[in-house]
Amino acid sequence: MKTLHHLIFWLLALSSAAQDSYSKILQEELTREFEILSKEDPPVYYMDYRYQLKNSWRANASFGKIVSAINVKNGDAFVQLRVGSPEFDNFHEVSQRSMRPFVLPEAVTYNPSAESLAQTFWQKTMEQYAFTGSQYLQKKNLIQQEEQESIADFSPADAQVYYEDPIPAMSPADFEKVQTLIANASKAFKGVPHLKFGNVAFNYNLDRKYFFSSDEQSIVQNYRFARIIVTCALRTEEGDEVYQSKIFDGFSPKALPEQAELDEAVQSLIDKVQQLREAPKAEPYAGPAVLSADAAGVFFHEILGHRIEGHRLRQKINAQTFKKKLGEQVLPKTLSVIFDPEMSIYEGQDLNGYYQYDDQGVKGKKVSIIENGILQSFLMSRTPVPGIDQSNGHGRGDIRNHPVSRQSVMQISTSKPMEEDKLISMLKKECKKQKLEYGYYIANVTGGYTTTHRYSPNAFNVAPTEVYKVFVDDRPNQLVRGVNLIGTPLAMFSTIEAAGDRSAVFNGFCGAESGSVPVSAIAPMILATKIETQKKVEKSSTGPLLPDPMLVSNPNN
Amino acid sequence: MKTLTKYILSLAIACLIFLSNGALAQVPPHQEIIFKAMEDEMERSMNELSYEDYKKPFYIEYATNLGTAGIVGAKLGGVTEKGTFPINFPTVRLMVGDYELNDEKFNNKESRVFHNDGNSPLSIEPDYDMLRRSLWIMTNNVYKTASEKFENQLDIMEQNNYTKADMIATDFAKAEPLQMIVEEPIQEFDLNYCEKIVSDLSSKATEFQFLSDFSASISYITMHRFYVNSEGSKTLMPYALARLIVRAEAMDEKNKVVGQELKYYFDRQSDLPTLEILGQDAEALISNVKENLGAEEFSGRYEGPLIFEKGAVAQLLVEKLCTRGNGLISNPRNLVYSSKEGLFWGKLFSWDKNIGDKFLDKSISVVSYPFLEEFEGKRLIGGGEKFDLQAVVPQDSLVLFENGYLRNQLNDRTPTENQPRSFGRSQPYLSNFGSSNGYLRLSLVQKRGPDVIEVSSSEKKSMEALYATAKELADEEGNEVLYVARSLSTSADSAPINFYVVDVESGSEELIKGVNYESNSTSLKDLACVSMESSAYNMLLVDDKLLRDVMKRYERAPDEIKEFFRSMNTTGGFPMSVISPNVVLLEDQELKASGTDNIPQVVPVPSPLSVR
Repeated sequence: MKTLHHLIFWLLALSSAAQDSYSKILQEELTREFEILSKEDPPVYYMDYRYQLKNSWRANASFGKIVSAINVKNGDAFVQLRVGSPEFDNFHEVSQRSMRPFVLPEAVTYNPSAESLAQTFWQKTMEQYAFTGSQYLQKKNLIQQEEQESIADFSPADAQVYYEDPIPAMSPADFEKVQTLIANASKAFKGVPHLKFGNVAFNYNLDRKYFFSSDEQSIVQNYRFARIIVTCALRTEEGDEVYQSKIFDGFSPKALPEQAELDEAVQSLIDKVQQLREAPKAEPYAGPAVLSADAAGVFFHEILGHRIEGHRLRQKINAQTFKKKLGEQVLPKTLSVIFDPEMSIYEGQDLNGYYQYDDQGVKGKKVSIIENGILQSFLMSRTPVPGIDQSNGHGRGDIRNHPVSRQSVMQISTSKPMEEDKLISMLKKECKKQKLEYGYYIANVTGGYTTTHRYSPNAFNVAPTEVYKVFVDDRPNQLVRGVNLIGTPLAMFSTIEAAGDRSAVFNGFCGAESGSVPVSAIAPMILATKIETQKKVEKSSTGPLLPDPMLVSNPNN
Repeated sequence: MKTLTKYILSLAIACLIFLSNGALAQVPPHQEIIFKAMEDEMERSMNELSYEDYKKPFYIEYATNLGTAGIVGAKLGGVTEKGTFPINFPTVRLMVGDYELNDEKFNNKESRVFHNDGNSPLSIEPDYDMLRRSLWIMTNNVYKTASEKFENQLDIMEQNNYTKADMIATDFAKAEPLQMIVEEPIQEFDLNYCEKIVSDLSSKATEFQFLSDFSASISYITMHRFYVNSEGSKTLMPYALARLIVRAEAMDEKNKVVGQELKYYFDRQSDLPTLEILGQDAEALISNVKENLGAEEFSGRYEGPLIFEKGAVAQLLVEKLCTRGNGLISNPRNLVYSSKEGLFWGKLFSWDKNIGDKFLDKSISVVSYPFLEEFEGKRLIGGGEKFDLQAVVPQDSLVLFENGYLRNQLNDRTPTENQPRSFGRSQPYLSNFGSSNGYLRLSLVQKRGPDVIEVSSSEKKSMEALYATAKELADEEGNEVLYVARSLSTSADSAPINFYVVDVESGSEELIKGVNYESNSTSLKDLACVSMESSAYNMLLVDDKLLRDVMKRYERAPDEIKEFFRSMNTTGGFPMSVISPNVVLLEDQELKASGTDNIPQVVPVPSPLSVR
């Protein structure tokens, strides 16, 4: 009966995916292998195939010329085998680290024949099987010596069939046009004094993702994202580097700016970095600050987002900041946080963290994580945690790693939105209260990192690129340089005083144990009553001995 | 590069079969712009560079490398990768001090000086301003590092009472300036044609159910190297090389993967064998894998005569002769300092002090022919360059071994104690990046390497006489059998080597697997005789010193990681050619059983190919 059910399922899946010959090959091979492996001892009770076709276009321009331009196509394959039973399998968390097999980076078929695709997945399955059987037995032995939690290792998931049509590749003519666009924009860097580098880069990734599992999940979906990144760094008199960047992104190259807008952005960036070069260095500081909406997204991603990724609650080395805090207040009552992978656009801005199905074939679901400051849930993959035994579609990983719970599109909202002017005046008031001459306005950040394990301070570090002193008197704001925002999460949450009435989007790529995944954060401006900054690491350089030849007259100028 | 006349002759033919044989690229445009940028920045650097109280540079050289690297790979008829990658990078070499003593030959183990004031990329389309800017910042970084390092070296030498008189060799050999612009167009490779070759080749294997994998890939590099130095040299060298790798894998009775490869090297697409010939080679490879799976396992130990045939001869000779230091490639010693050990000469192994000593059988001579382009119709990838990467023109031939005696080592402008001048062997070294058979790229570091090496003997025998001698030797030692190491017969430059056990009485032979042969330092002294005929083989010679250094770093790593780094560092090398006798007989050699892991791998699911 089960076999018949299986057959009906795959027939349905294949009819919806009829346009795609790869689906048929992969599903047939998975079924054939699972039939045999599920009867082995120890049995494989679950397996999935992930196949990802990557088509990427990358170009980089500087001083009006193209420095590199490539279109790379490749394919990647990944197999997950679960041995034992959902209650206890080879993925069970144990305190002793087990080595994963080292797999040589290899090119996997991107334009496959039926034979090469099936053979590739068979090879990957056999590689995994050689490892997982012994891993399961090792853990089984080990766990008998440890306290065992009565919690399953793998949760059930619904059967799914989902198919998206392929998206046409970028044409060579369009790629040429983009190259002209960025080359023209990069002309502005010519003649900039003290320039260390000035680049305009274009990236467009168009991935086709296939997922099939023995749990009757058949997902074929696309991922795409286009970007233009403008970067510029100048040398200061002291030999440090000051840096600014500006990112434009969207699902397709069509979402990127036209020439005039891009030219203006490059010029504005150059002006900003030149101002920054002349700005004084900031001293270490502890006091109130306002984080712009642009900066707040990164801030929440680092200090909050990584700590509500469910699988960390099962890692014995993890600090498990929120493990026992379900139902407790962790943020001010005015703040709420949701994760919604199905949200594709916010106020006209495409969201990089959008997806329909996660990398475990589970439909991405909107999750309310914090409501009015109270912790409600965690981001869940198919690895259950105490109190939550189902995935909410956040099992994510790149094609070379097993998925774990990861962030998608985070949205922070406030029930008491305040206008920017009001927040600034609250900042000044708080400074006066703390007997400080000034507070900080953090206008922009590039990224950050956080540690969540127990063996080092559970801290975060966010790297601002544009920071202003806001004086309590009527002096104008003063741009400063060389600041890093640091702290510990719980202390930081307790200082969030208010939030703004307008939100901004941060699109990025987040790296963690399951690799790099695309994410987004939508956050309002926030006021914190106490932040801490430290000086940035300075790059010691005495600077070039001879002047930049581009600034010296030459036959071509 | 190969001569212009030959290219012009081949152009007429190539035009007729243009689509399948690639295209001839134009002489690089913007030549004047590139040289002018290099010369202008060099002049400014030599005249104006000044850093605190440090010494000025006495020597600068710039090279600008422009071209394309490409790769296309296929597995069982499906394309695994395909793409091209622009090559556009400059290199800068700058020395502080003088020819006798400079910063390059000193290694302070405790103090690593490194300056980096930034970098600036080159554009794909040559641009005067961008090239100058790139050279400017690189020169700045190298100069600041070199000048501080040299000052430190002088201080340490003074503290340790070392003077120039104590140096065992000059640090940098003088060379005549060379101005040579090789305006030959280079042949580009047609990636679509390459794709057809690898797809068709790899799809053939789907008929063979016992195979677990079958792949083919072509990677190539095609570029121009613009070079100037402060001595007045100015050269332009076109460079092209391609490699086809065909690999077959199957599982043995213990489910361990048995993999074998064919490798082809060519610098013109027209030199790639036809698909028909490649197909025949592939089938021979597949048959060989199958025969190996069913072959008897070697057991015990064998001592006695050993015959090498075809590619196995070339492999043996290269392994014995072409190592750095204790081989035909020179290995200059550095002056080294550590507070614990003081100042001393690096304990590098080298045959330099053994020049004049006898290492080989007295019948053997080895000569290098850097300009040789063909041997009996076969194109040689190691020969034909008109000058080396340091703009030194080598002599037509260089005797390396004469009647068994070492006469010279291959070197460049960094002298050794007994070889004060350059023989012009600063050679391109190719490594790869990307996947395991990824893009070929030119090393940033100049290395001493071989070109075309011919190994010959004054005592040649016919094949029949050579085999008769082998049998006599076996009889003398009371052996009923003798062994032959023979490469698979294909049109490839490199093919798997099989061992055969030969019954002395009947002459019948049988393939045998699991043989381990390790030549020792006296192997070539035991050379009994060689055949009258010779053949040529192309290869990429791995820098064994580099490999040893890399592997030393990972000696405590798990086996898989070691294997990864080993494979990453053995896929590239110096393009070289070996002309070697077709058969060589060595006396008193030892064979052992190769240690194999007897634990069978569990493979419960048969491969999809096997169940079709």
